[in-house]
This record gives sequence, C-alpha cells and structure tokens, in this order.
Amino acid sequence: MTNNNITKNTLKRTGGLLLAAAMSISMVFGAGQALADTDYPTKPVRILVPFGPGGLADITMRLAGEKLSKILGQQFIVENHPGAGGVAAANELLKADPDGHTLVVMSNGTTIATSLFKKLSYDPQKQFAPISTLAWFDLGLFVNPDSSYDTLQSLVAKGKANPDSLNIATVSPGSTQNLAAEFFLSVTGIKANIIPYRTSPDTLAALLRGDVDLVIESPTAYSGAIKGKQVRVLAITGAKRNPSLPDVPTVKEAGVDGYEVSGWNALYTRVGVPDDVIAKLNAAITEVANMSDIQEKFFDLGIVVGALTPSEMADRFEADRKKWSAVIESAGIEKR
Amino acid sequence: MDTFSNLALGFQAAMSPESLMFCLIGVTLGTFVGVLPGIGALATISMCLPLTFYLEPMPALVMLAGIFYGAQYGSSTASILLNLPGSAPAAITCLDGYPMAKQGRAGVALFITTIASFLGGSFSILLMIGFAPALARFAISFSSADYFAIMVLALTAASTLSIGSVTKGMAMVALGLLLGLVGTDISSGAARYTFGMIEVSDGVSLVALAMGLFGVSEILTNIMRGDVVVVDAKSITMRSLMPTRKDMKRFWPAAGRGSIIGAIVGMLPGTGPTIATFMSYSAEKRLAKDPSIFGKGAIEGIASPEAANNSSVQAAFIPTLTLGIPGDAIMAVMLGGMLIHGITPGPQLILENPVLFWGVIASFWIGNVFLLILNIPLIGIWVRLLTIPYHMLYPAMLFFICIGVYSVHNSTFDVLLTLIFGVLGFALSRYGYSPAPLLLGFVLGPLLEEHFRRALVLSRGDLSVFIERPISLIFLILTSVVLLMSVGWFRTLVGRLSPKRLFRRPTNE
Amino acid sequence: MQSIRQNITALAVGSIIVIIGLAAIWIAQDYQLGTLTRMGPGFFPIVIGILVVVFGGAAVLGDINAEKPTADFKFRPVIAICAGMLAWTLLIDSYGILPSTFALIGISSLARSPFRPWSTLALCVGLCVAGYLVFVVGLGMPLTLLGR
Repeated sequence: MTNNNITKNTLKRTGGLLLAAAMSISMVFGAGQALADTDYPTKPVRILVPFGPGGLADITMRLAGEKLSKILGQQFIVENHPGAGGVAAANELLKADPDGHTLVVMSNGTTIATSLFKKLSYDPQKQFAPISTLAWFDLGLFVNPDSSYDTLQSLVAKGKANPDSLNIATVSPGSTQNLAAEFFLSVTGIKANIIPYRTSPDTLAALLRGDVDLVIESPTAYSGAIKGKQVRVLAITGAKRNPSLPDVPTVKEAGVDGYEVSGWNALYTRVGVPDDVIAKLNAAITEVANMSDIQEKFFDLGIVVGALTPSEMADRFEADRKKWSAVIESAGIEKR
Repeated sequence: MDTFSNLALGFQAAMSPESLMFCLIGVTLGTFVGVLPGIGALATISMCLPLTFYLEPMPALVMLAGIFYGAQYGSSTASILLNLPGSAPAAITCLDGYPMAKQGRAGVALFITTIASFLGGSFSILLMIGFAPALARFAISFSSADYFAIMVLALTAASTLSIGSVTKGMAMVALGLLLGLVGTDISSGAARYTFGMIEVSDGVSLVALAMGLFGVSEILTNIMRGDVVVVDAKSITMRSLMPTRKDMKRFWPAAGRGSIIGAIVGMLPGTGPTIATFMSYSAEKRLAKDPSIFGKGAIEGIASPEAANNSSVQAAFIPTLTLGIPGDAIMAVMLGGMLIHGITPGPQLILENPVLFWGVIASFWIGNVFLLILNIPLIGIWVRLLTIPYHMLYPAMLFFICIGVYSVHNSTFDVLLTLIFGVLGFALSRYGYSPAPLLLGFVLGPLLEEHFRRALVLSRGDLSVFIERPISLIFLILTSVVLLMSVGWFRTLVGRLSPKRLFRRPTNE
Repeated sequence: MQSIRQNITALAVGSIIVIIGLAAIWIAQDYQLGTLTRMGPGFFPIVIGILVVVFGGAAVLGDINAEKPTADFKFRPVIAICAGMLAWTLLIDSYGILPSTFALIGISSLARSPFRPWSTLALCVGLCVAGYLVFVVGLGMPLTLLGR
C-alpha cells in the first residue's frame, strides 16, 4: 500500500515554490483511490512545531515532512507555534478534530515542562497519543582547548576542590541543556555557577572568550568549532558514543556513573485518533527513518534518526518525565 | 595574493549559470517578502529550506542568502511610501522617508535608499573579503560587560529619535524598556508581566509592535486629519524620481558613516540590524549642523540607516561563516541550511572549501548588483502606489498588516496586539510622544538586562568590571561625552576651549 | 474652553504612562530582587518602573501648557478600524481568508465617509485573490480561502 503511494507520488513535486500546484495534483490522485484499510490522509496534514522557525526541531521536521508528503500523498505542512512549554502548539492541536490531520511535535523538553510548570494547561500523557520518535540527539561537554581540563575527571576534580569556582554556560533556564547541567552537578556533587545564555552560539562565544569553563550543548550547534579544534569535547551525554564523534567517550565511560541524557523529537496527535491512522503514520515515519538520504542529512546535523512504536514512545516519555522531575526537585528549581 | 586568486575562483563559481539563476530567484523573492509588512526573511528562508534539499550546496546557499539581504532592500519601500515598515529595522526609515513621500519626493527617497543599501552591503562584503577571520575574532572578544556598555550608548539615541520634547522621548524609551521585560526572564526563567498569557511568554512580538506603532497608528492619524498624500500619476516623471546633485552631496558622507556603524554592530553576535539603524540615525542627527531638519525629510536620515541596515546584515555573515557563530535567528537558519548540505561553517571552511566560501561571498556582491538593477526600475512602479485613492489604500494596508503579522507566529493574538499598539501609538503620537524611542527601548531593554546581570555573575558581583575592561570603558566614556554634549553649559565650555569648535561641529569623519 | 479640554486629554495621556510605571513597580514586588552577584528577575522591573514614572511625570509637567493637536479627534475611525481588525482575527482561523477579508475591508471602510460599496467590494475580491495567491500558493502559509 505504501509502495503504491510512493509510485503515485513520484509524479508530484517537480520542485519550485508553488506548493499549492503540487497539493492539488496529489489531491486529485488521492481522491480517486479507495484504500484497503484507511484512506487517511484525505487532506493536507499540519505538523505543529512548538518552536520558532530555524531550530533543529524545525529543520528536521521540515525535512521529514517533505518525505512524509511523498509517502502518504498529502502535503505535510510545518506550522510554527512557539511558546513556553509547548502550550501554544498543544492548544492548537486540541482545537483540531481528532482525525490525524493535525500532528504536534513533542520533545524531551515536553517531559521537562510537565514538571517545571506549576500548571501546564495540557496533559501530554492523557490528551496526546504517541506516534513515533523521529530524531535522537545527545549533548556534549565542551571546554576551551587552552584550558587545563584534558579529561572529564580533571574537570570534576577541579570543581570539587574549589566550590563555586567553575562557570558552566547553557542556554535558557529549563532547557534540556540547562537541566543536564543541574543533573551533572547533582550527580558529581560539585558546586558551580550555571549561567544561562540566550542562544547556543552565545555559549560558544563565551567559551571561546574564556568567560566560562564548561558548556553543555548539542554537538550540532558546535560542529564548526569541533572541526576547527576550537573546542575540546570531554564527553558525550548519550548512552552510546555519538557516531560523528567516535573518539569521544560517553560520560559514563569518562568515569561519571549514573549520568545519561539524550534528547528526542517525536510526533504526537490527539487522543481519539483511530488506531489504524496512527499505525499508518508510524509506518510512514519508520520508512522515513530508514531512508538513506534522510539518515545522511541527519548525520550531517549530528542527529541519529530512529523510530519507536507508539507504546515504546509512551514508556520513553514516562521514563524521561520521572528523571527530569527528580532533577528539578533535587536542584531546587522553582516551578513556574 | 592568495586572497585575490581565491576570490577570482569564487567569482568563477558564483558566475555559473546555475548560481546566477538561484541568486536572482533569491534576491527577487527577498525583495518581495521584504516589501510585505510582517512576513520576513526568517519565515521565507525556513520555508524554502526543504526545497533546497535537492540543490547543490552552492546554489542553495546563494539563494537562501539572497532572500535574506534582498529582504533588507525591500523593507524600506513601504516605510517610505506608507509609513509601514516591512521589518523592524526599517521603522527608522519612516521618520524621514515618509515625510519625503508627503513632499512628493518618494521616488527620490526610494532611489537614495536603494543606492545606500548597495553601498552598505558592498562595504561589508569588502570587509569580509579582506579581514573576515580577524574581524570575527575581534567580534567575539566582546564580553557581557562590553555589550552592556554598547547598549547604554545606544540608549542615548533615544533623545534624538524624538520629534519635539526630549522628556517625552525619554518617557517613551522607558516605556519601551518596560515592554521589553514582558515574557520569560532569560536569566532566571521567571515569567514577568505575562498575566498568565502564554502568547507573550516569549515576549511581545517586535513585528506587532512596529506594525502597530507605525502602520496602524499612521492610518488613524491620516483618516482623522483627512489630508493624505495622493500623487497625480502625470506628475511621475523620470526626472522627479532622481535625486538632485545637492541631495547626492548630502548622501555620500551619511551613507559612508551608516555603512561603518552597520558593519560594527552587525558583526557582533546578538545585536542585530535594528540597533544598527537606530544608532546610525542618532549619529547623523548629532553630527548634523542643523538637527531640526530631521523628521522632515532629511536625506541623511534615510541614507545612513539604510546603509547601516544592509551593512549590518552582510557583516552578520562574518562570525557565521568564519566561526560558526550565527548572530541571530536568521543566521542560525542559514547555518542549519549549510549543515544540511554537509558544509560546516567554522574556521575550517575557508581552508577546506575555499571555492564555496569565496563563491558565496562573491555571490553576495553579485546579488547586490542584481538588487540594484532590479530595484531602480521598480521605483517607478512603487511610487504609483501613491496614486491609489486613500479610501482603497488604507483597507488594503490593514489587510497586509493583519496577514503579515499573523504569518510570523500563526497567531491571531499578535494581530490583536498590533491593533492595541496601533491605537496606543496613535493616542501617544497625537500628544507629542514619538513611537521610535519606544521601539528602541523595546529592542535594547532585554539586551541591557541580560548583559548587565551576566557581567555581574561572571565578576561575582564586582561592579568595577564595567570600567576595567577596555572596550566597556571606551563605550562608557563615549556615552558620557554624548550625554554631556547635550548639556548646554558643557557645550559652551568645549566650544570656548577649542577654537575650531571641533566637538560642536564635527564636519566630516 | 476647547483648549482646556484638549489640555486635559494631553495630561491624561501622560498620566497613563505614569500609572503604567506605578503598576509595573507594584507588580514587580512579587519578583525576587536577588543579590548583586545573582540578580533576580525583580531588579530591572523596579528600576525601569521608576524611570517610567520619573520621565512620564516630567513629560506631564511639561504638558501643562500643551498645544492643541492639529486635528480633531473622531470616534468613528477608531471604532471602525478596531472592529474591522477584531473581526479579521476572529474569522481567519476557522473560516479562512474570504470571510475575514470581507469583514476587515467592509468594516474598516466605514472609517471614512462616504462609504463606497462598489469600490469596497472590488477591493475585497482583489485582495482575496491576491492574498490567496501570494500567501497561500506562493509562500505556503497554512491558511485556507474558505473554512478549515
């Protein structure tokens, strides 16, 4: 069935900016074809991204949306609904019909939001239905190559010996990076200053300038600096090594136990969407995740593509929610 | 020399038919979205990004970059014709551009801004060719204390942006600073002045503010007053579009100063073109022999900010390409676009992929030439917009404001904000409170606070950090001089001390 | 008599700024001040609030002999434009470009007399077509012409 859709859609999209022209062609084709199990999608599908345009989540979703459009024969249109805690995007999803034509991007950031906000206006676990993850990414622990920190151990030792002396930069408070830093301090027992910056490039500039000792940030944001040897990566926060940085140990390998952080982006929809629609979407995303050109592009971005089944997705969400809730508790972060 | 042979290589790559074609597509699309209020380069580049997926890296980058700087050319068009800034940096062009249109000199203003844009863009491209890596290292040596000092200097521009009472200008800048606090505090994550509204949790939309204060407010003022610029189609001749020799004499030095200010501000990550245009306008007014001509159609008042605007957006590529440090959201999308194509901007880029690096820079200049050729004939068409009777024009403007503001975050809330700011701006400007200082305060406020607080965290609460760092000290001294110059007795004193009255009337720099 | 009334409005506009400043300071009481090293989210709001009050107050004092605005105030344009834009925001998401544009243009055209039904209608049609082609077809914005 999916193969059928692919051949059908090779006719579509000769490129160019006239999205609508392509849209109408695919609608003509889509309408004429009654499919065996479900005829979803019957109209363009909206992907609500809870971030502004241009971020990693936005770019990856746009790339995947392009592929999903080809597989399922309807345009997948990315809409940006930025706002704290993903509330704007969530509200938009809850306004839509539960027919699977509106999807929302959730991330590990959402699992943080459930604990960080006193009163989140939506319950992602009760109101939203998981479809699949799409992208996985880890964080790196970066220091200035001119610094004396050759290994993670030397940094930890310095931090323990001189409380309150280290400066750690991360992006905004409550971000995965920021909580990963809090988590790092609580696991190692170091006392240090975590300094929030507005953007990832700001943290890189601060590190190059020597204002801060350590930055916890996604290797993607630092790829130029890594290549140019302007920064030193002490460790990677994921459970496994990062394929684009095969020589860099994980935090665990570097000698700090009980520390693992990996971020993900996933597609969700509303509870109430029929199971066969979710299954169809899940199959399509799995197909996208297995495409070699997608894997290549994502690899260039420092991201690993990987799909999960809806139930695995739900488990992962719950595991991360528990983890971040504990970090927020132990770091004494005030709820908003 | 190595640079020249590399540059020649770059031009060769940029002159390939494919690159030329995508450059042209990019700048044309850019000009177009630039003219439309609200919808800007950021949204357009993000939307085009997946479409470049199938292109070679070079044409893809050339096109995306073309959208970006093309949009800056277009953004002043509606500022001049309709007092409707295409984007926030172009708001300042309303101050003198719109009065020029009212005097029937819209064509001249558009001509001037096009040339100024070209000069500003070319200036930064030259800087990039000559000194990109060194400049980038200089730019990131600015620490939080230094940024704070620069923002304080920029804040002194407020008093020059106000037409009429200086106290009212100061009140507006304070109000702008306050408005800038709305949203999530960057240092602590606390929500301030959001009143529980998630729509403002990331702050008030700059686009909504600019469109409301300038666009909607002006529509109300015009209808209330009943006198509206309507140009007779017959009066539009080629001659009426061309600046006089006197205009050009005033144009050159102003555009030169604007280019320099724009380049400096633009290469600092995190500042952005709005601050560049406001600072350059302020500098012109302070340096002018007769500051009273500003706000009434001064050539300097559009030439300098427009040059600064384009100079700053081109300069923003310096840290992005050479260090992989994008200065703003648009540069971050560009960086993402490069990564998708397997190009990693950073110190390695210039060594590993010189053809691409120099090719992209060469294409910037080619794009600027395209924009010049494209925009000059367009002037005649744009000016004809003013022949549309106002009863048709203002509803159409409202339509474009609504849809443009909406497009930024897909948010009807932002459109409502635009309306509120429009009415507020109308009421305020009716009683002599100018909107420009408010916009300046709004842009500067969050940066002032962020850098002040971070500088103190880094210094562990030691305030002397602001005078110990040389860059910070220089800017604070500059600020004091600017402030003292506006005090009457100090001016007289300086005037007596220096026979040439160097400080009072710096003739040219 | 007229000039006194105008003067009062000028003072009222200035006073609103002062009131906003005072409200900002009052609300900021809830935000933490922090220390000099770790400044809390409350420090700047209070400082800026004070600046608003001081400069706003100075501006009001300077307005005691304010000049009369050049044009008379009319309610009609303000109401028509507010209602028009409000209607647009209410209609655009669920009903699309067509009804929202007709509402916006139709209502806001009432801001000036005389109302010209035919040219207004032509404008509505023209803008719907242009808006659809430019924003939806050309720029791929997630909007519909009619209905969701």
